[in-house]
Amino acid sequence: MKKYLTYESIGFHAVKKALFFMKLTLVFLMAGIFQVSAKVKGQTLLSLKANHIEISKALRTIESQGEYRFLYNNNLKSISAKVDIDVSSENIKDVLDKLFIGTDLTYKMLDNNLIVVLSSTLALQDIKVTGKITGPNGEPLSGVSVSVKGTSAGTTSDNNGNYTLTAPEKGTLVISSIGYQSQEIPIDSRSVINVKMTASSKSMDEVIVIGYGTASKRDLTGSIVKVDGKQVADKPNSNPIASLQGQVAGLSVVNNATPGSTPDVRIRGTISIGSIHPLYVVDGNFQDNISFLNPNDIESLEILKDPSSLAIFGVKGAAGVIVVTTKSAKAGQVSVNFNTYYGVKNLVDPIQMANGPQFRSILTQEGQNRFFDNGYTTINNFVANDMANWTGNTNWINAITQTAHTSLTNISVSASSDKNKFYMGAGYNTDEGLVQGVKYSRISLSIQDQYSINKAVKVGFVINGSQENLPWDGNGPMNNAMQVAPIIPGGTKSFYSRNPYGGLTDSANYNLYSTVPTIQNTLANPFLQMYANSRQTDIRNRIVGNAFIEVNFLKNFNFRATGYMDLGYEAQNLYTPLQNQYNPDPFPGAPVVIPYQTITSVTQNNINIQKYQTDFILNYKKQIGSSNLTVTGGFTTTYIGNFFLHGQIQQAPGADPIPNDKRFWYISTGFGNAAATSASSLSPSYNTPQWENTTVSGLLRALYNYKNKYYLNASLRRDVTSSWLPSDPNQGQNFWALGGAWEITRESFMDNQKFFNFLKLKASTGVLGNANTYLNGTFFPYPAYPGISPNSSAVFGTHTINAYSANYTAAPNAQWETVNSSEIGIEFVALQNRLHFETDWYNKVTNNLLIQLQTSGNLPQLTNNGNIKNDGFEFSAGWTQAINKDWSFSVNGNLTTFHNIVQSIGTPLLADPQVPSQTIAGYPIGYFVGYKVIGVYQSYADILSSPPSSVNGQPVAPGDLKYADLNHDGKVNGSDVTQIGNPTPKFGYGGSVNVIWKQIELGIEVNGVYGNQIYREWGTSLQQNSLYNYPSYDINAWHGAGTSNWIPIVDAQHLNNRAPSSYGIEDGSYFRIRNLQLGYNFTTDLLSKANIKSAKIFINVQNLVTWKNNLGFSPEYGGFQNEAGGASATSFGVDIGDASGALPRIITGGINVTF
Amino acid sequence: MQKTKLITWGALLSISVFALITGCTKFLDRKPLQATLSDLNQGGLEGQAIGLYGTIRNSQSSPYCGDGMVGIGYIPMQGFRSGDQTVNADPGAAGYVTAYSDFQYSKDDWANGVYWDRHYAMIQAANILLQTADSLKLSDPASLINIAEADWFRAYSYFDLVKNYGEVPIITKRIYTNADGQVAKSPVPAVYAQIDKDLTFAEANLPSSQPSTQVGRLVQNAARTLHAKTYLMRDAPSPTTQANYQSCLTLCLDIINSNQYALFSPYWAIWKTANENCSESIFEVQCQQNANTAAGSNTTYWSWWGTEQGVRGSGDWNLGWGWNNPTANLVNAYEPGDPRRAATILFSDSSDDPANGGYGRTLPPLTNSLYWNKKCYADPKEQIAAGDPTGAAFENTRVLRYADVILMAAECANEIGGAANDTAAEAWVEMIRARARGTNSAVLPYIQYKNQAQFRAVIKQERRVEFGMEMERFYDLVRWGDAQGTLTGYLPKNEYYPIPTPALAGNSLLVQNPNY
Repeated sequence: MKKYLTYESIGFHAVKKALFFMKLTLVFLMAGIFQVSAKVKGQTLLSLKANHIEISKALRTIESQGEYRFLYNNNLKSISAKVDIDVSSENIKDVLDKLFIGTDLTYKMLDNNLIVVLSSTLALQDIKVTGKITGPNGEPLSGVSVSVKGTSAGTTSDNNGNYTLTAPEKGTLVISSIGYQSQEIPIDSRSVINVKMTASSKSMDEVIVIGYGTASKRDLTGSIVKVDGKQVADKPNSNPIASLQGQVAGLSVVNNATPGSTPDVRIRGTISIGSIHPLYVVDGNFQDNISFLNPNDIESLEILKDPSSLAIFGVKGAAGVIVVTTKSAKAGQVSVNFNTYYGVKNLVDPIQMANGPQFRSILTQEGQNRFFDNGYTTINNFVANDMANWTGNTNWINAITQTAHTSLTNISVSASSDKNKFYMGAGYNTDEGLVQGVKYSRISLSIQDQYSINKAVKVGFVINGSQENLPWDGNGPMNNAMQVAPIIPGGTKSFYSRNPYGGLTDSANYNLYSTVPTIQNTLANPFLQMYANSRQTDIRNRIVGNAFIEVNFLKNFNFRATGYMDLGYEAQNLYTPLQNQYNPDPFPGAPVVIPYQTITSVTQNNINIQKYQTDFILNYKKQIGSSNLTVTGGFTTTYIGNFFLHGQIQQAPGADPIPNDKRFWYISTGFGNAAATSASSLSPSYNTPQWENTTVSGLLRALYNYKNKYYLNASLRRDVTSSWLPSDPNQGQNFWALGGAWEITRESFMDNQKFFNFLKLKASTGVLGNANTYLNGTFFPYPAYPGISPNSSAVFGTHTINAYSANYTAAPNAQWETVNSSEIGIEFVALQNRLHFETDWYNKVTNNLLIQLQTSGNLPQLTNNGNIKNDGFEFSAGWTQAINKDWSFSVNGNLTTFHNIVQSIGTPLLADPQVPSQTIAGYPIGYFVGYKVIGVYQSYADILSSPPSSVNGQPVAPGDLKYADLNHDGKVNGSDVTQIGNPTPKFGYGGSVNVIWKQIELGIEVNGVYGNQIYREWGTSLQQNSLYNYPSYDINAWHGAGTSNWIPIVDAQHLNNRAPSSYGIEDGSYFRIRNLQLGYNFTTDLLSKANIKSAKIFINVQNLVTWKNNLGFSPEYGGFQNEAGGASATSFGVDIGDASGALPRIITGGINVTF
Repeated sequence: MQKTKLITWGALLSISVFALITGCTKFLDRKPLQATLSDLNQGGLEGQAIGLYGTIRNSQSSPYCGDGMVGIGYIPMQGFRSGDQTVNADPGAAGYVTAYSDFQYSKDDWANGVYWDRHYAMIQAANILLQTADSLKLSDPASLINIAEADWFRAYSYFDLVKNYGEVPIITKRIYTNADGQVAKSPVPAVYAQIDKDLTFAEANLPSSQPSTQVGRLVQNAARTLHAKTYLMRDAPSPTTQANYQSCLTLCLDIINSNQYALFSPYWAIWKTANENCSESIFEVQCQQNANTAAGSNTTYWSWWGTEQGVRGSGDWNLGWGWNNPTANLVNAYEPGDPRRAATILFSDSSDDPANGGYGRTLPPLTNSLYWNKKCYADPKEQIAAGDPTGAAFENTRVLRYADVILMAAECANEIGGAANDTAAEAWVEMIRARARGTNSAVLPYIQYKNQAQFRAVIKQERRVEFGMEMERFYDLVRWGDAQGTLTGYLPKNEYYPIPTPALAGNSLLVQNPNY
């Protein structure tokens, strides 16, 4: 077994395992197709004695005696008839004659002792059964499972409640659907069977996928929300989680408008200053995100929130878990599904910046203000030159954005037989960003197969493959578009100029973009930047799969071994092109052509990710008297390897530029200066370009109940990680949870009440873990091994000598963060199963925060120090009612309250001069710190009568923001900063309404948050490295006593106004119609002619309207992206005016057809 | 039957689980796939000592000492308080004008925090070396040189700290845990006593010269020069005592008599790339433009010194961020015709003066600043060739020059008095003026010694123009007791900067400086 333990062999084993299962499956498939043929010679005499034996069994006994082989159809009615037989030493003819007496069977001898058994009458016929399934009020029910008892044949009803299947004429149909009582109906040779369902409270018996197994919802003591894959399939979001916004209590989703990006997802608050995203468990495989999945391949999503559900995930569980189950074939016939949508995206609420005349007017004002300050203007060339040659009036945000397009096309095939279940899906998704040239696309393929070798053994595999074309994010040009002056011409102008790539003879007329005025020398024309940024390709290929074998033995035991493999390969090729621009206003002279970029370069990054996981799970399930017990034990290992290769070349001085052609976007093309290969990104620092990480874990869980009345869940997991040193006493950590529940409606005293159909009280508590590997936004694969920096290297004259220093020191007993988590809840179903209600109180305290403890001037020490507390309530309720056979509706709503406080932290994370997000003890995580604005100083008299102010070390002047002297010490200074905002909402809520009228369906989803603040950085504390365009409201800025008591004087030199303050604080509450979908289901009569089972067309509008209170593009600002693409836990809710916050309105139309 | 099955399955499972668990130790043992400190053979103390020269320069990764010792933390702290230097080219830096040039000191200012922190990081780096040497009881000659180098860097850092903050915590042991860093302030004389101890050892143990492959590495005279400077500063804000003048003069004479240095001519050429580590150079923070340099990416051997101070125009004149602009005060401080004016200052809308270190280019009529620091004006062609016009980050920072030794000697001689000293002072000042004058005998006339007060004024003026833009002026004014009369807005408390808030937060024993 030792061999197993190096990573190479793990990889090899996993591959081998997968190959083995694939082969095995193939062999079984072949076996099913080719009948075994037998050779029979000679005339053996047979003996057979049996009472009440099935004829088929008697035939098998004969086969086992000698050379005879029988060929017959299993569906022959008489073959299963029972007969008595007693023959000895007779030849085959006599035996068969006796055996078949009284039946309609005959036989025919062939060569090779092969005997064909025939029926004189027709065999039991399979007939086609159709029908309509309706609810209590005659409304059609879709998705109802219809199966033939005792077989795996079956189907589900379509959107109009109709079903069709082939079944034996004497068979029995089993009709079941969540929320309704199951029925068994004998077919009795009928070809039309309509069924009316009656409601039941059995939604509690719904099967839920939990960690390492499944359980009925009733048996659990925690809070798990199951979302049907349908809910994310037809929404225009490439990431399925974006479609859950507002639909699940406790789940906060903050969207990011960059196509292909992952939203900022937090479950029940922010538990850490580092890693906070939930764990995604895709068919058992641990993942950090699910951007590689096609939403159409998802069967269900389960959101796990409470300790009782999460402890089994150990050190990965504390931030919550989203279990994703991909589609597999359902019982029944071959089904082919095709769906597609196409849509457009528009920016609905652009930020209002000054237009040309406004800019000139405000700029003049600023020039005058600065002149007043110090006698000369520091706005470059403004006095010397009135910039009359800058004649543009460009709305730059409009100029660089577009009506974007999005589309998704998907086809899937599923089929199942007695032994085999097969599913295949293929999808293509494109998604453009609002900034021109930003486009994401993904091709995905999913294959799944399960094969039952016999009653005891089942094998199967899943493969999800995808290729993603990742876009650049558009943020740079969007920021520039907000900052460049509107007087810059937006279009191009033709100049007879040199081709930047060519020689002296290549001059021609070129259409060039304008440069920016000298006063904006740190900025660039957004079009030039967009062109440069779009010269890149970024392709990510990924194959995620698993193969398993499952064995049932000793009646109560089930063992499952699964090998997972996730191979990812990303290739980035970036090119810096040569571009010319023109200066409309050189001093002195006529417009001239100047270079924007003079040196070409190419950067190539290859990222190779390998993940392997093995699970060995043993299950024991037993009913003892009134007690039901399920015990799960397991052993699991993970391996992650990440290998990054980076190279860069640059055009050598005087050498040919690297051509602007994808052919040459590689580092080894013969172009470029090989010697200029940059090593900086490869130099060891915190983040090693290649790393490996392994874990080994054991787990144990017991689900127990007594008479389905009293429930007890207990789970335990031990995780050992390679991240900590073997000498670290905390290399292995234990996590556990205990939960209990009481189903009150099972008590006899509840028998006489009519209100509740179901009522359950539940509580759980435990210790969960958080493997926080993001420290200050940087990923630490080896926290116990400090990285080193080569930048201590010395230079002596022209000689350099390398020297290295460590980046931090590691505490010898460091450990992962632990979270003490508890929950108490009530859930009930009432009023004839129409009302569902659930409420929970949650409380989570994160201990041992992993931080870098900083002593001034010294290397930081990585250690555990700090606590964060999150608590709140969740409410969710739903009402479902069918009014009559045409009308039905359902209404759902949820609300979650959030309360976060950092109880202690070893090294506070302080605000910076631009972004006021701060994390210190006694305040909510990432709260905004700053001054409280009480107005604008109107005059010197006003200043003299107010407490003296020295914010940012500057005395104030009329027109400056007046800050409150909060500590009443008679001075306004650094001691007067306070909490001016909290980026975490007081509560978040959402809901949906679904109405069905005959063929028409209307679905509306809403969501919102309340009680959080947004900090707007643009127009307030943003450090301007040159002069930037003004927000249009600056036209009303203070320009003399009484002109404004809120907008300060326009003067970038008045540092007082740039301090983070309540001037930049905006109400983050919003309410949004997130999604509106109108669908039409075609009637079956129309479709059956085209061999279509069901068809639906729909129109969907996402972000139809948002009622918000801030000036930004949208009210949603997730955590700043950290280097690994995750969201920052401590800096969120800040509007920096980039493209990721520009959430579009998306209108799509689509069809969904099942054959 | 049932029992056998149970035993078989049980045995199978337990064997596999056992096998897995026993193999786990190896599976879990993952060391980084890159070098860690323990993987590198750094040559013991020598490697650590070499690291100190990189540490004082680098702003690229931990411990980022360059930010506080040559970078944007350093420039305002040491420069903008002089009345001769400021920042007005960068509209975003207006806060620094207020906080430094206008003496509205801010304890929350980023530059102040960085300056404090990076100096202590430098001290920690030196302490680590010294702790290693101490624990191994190293006393071979090579190790003694390394110890002397660490002592020098530690003294250099404490000298910066004591002249900017006054009382500061003295930390001479390696810090392992947060608790080790909780140290109270020591009185100013105690800080100088520590500096004396370190520099005395350095003077005794540093080599008198270095091989050509290690030009610029510390030598004995670098310790003497730094030590000499500390004697002049330690009685600030009143002029130094006779004893300190004498100590300073003795050190300066040792340096002069070593005959290792000569003033470099012409004056403007000192700041040209080709003349790094010239005959006048005693200590420079050494940088290099690596041949393997892609635009702005390979910054291992760079500092931001030049980038931060380059002309802030656009196009071909986008040479830097324009921090550290000469003020009109400085521009007007030169005697008529003094070539040092044209060697120190670039004028907007004017030629860059090829006769005095220019390249034959004409500055545009920039109005964000009329004056620019020419001592950070490398040939723009080199910068453009490197693909990054603002990237003149490979210029060495000239820290200690022989001219400073000469003028310190002159100042001490004049203060101590006596005929021999007066004559020597006169000759030393003339050395400086003669070099500045060059071949143009029409400017910078010979100055005769008349009396102590007259010659004191001469030396003060000479220091001001000789070291224009070189971060000396503020400390000269403070130690002469002239700051309050010369600098607008300066109050006695402004000798010292307030201790930055993060430093107070990280050390519970630290108390804020008076009046802040």
